[in-house]
Amino acid sequence: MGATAYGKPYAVQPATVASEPVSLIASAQQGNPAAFEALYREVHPRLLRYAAVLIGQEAEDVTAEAWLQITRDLSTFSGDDDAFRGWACRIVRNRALDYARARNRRPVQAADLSLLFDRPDTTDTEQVADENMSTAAALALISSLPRDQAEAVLLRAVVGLDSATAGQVLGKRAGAVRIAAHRGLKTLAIAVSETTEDSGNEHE
Amino acid sequence: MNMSNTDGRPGAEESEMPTLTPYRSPADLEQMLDGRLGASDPLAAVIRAACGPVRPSELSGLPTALNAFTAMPGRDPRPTASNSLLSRISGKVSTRLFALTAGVVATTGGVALAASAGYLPSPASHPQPAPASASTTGSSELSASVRTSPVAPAVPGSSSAAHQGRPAGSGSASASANGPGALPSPNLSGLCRSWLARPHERGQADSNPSFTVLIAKAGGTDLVDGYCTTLLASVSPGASAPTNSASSGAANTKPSKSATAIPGQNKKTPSVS
Repeated sequence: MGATAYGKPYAVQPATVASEPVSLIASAQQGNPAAFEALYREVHPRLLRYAAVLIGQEAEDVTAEAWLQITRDLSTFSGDDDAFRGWACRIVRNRALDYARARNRRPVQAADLSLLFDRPDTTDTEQVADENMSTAAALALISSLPRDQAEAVLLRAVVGLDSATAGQVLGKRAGAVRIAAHRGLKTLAIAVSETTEDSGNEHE
Repeated sequence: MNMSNTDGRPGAEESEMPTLTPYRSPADLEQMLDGRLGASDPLAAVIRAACGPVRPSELSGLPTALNAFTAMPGRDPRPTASNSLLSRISGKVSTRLFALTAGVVATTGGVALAASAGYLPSPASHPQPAPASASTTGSSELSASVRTSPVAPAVPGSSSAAHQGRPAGSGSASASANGPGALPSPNLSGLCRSWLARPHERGQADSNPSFTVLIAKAGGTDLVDGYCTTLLASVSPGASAPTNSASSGAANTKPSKSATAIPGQNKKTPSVS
């Protein structure tokens, strides 16, 4: 469990640095609510999904607490957009681990995630079933992986971190993250193909 | 790079997994992790689903977070020099938000809209070549403008597709429509409607980066009313062109039942304002 202190900037690959997100973060740091809201809308869904894979139903609580901490410590943050997401993920992760320690972690169930991601916010039920059941199902599937793989896949593919930044979240080297993510994908691929075969057999 | 190492096990240090059938190369897997997802790949479909549209319920904590933010002592709301930078992008952000909403409303009834709207955009730090997808849908990139898109706007149906975002839709029926979300140009009509619809907030709106683009376009805060009146008069109220829809104001004030699938993001909490 890497315990690198935050508050200092990530080592971000030069190619990822751009002025715009930095400005947005800087503006939030100066107290601009619109900038904060934009950041929240951008980052929170990713955090929530990451937390869901980590902790299931308590993801909302975890991320809500994480945002309080982010808000509190925002002034000390230094870095760009990628670094911000990494920083936020790290906070979420620490919170989630606290929660997990407080109870015996049980496997995340798709039903748990459905509560988070499948609420009928729309009247288009077909759409809900089509689009969002699959989000919960996909997250549940990913969370069925060994945790290091699940986290690596989530941080890379959903949160959008590169391996180096994800490694800083996880306290691992970038190479280890890459390996875990690849393994996770391979395992997922097998699970998916099995699922497909099963459902194919059922329908035939 | 070691990316081309065989079998995805460059110096594997953790070996809890048995060797799995490697039917994707490490490079393929990296592409997938970077958000370059093949259209018909079932594994990509899982990733795509995990990055699925942002649900309004996912943003239900926004008011609480925002309250905590504004209540935080020591906030200095004074505009500063960096606000000019901010407003540029923030304007883009909210323009995208407006545009998304407007586009969505404009295509009422489009199931495909949910397929494209609100997908978590690919990490902009990673290149995003077009997936070989039948979908012409540009992903909505709702928030992509926040991040560092090297080449920002996803042009819907771009044939070059070199920088198209994540494919919207899961490769099924949902991928059938055009993407209202990826709107590269500011939706001035939507901004105007929003502006005109909330005169009581005008004072606040002046400093709201959302309207920076509009104010700049009009030539000054005082001129926005006239500019918007003229602009909206020239826009057919029924126009459904996603880029120029005049519906965002309506969407903000009166979420349409039939069109709130994903744009409901603006439903529970006001858009950036």
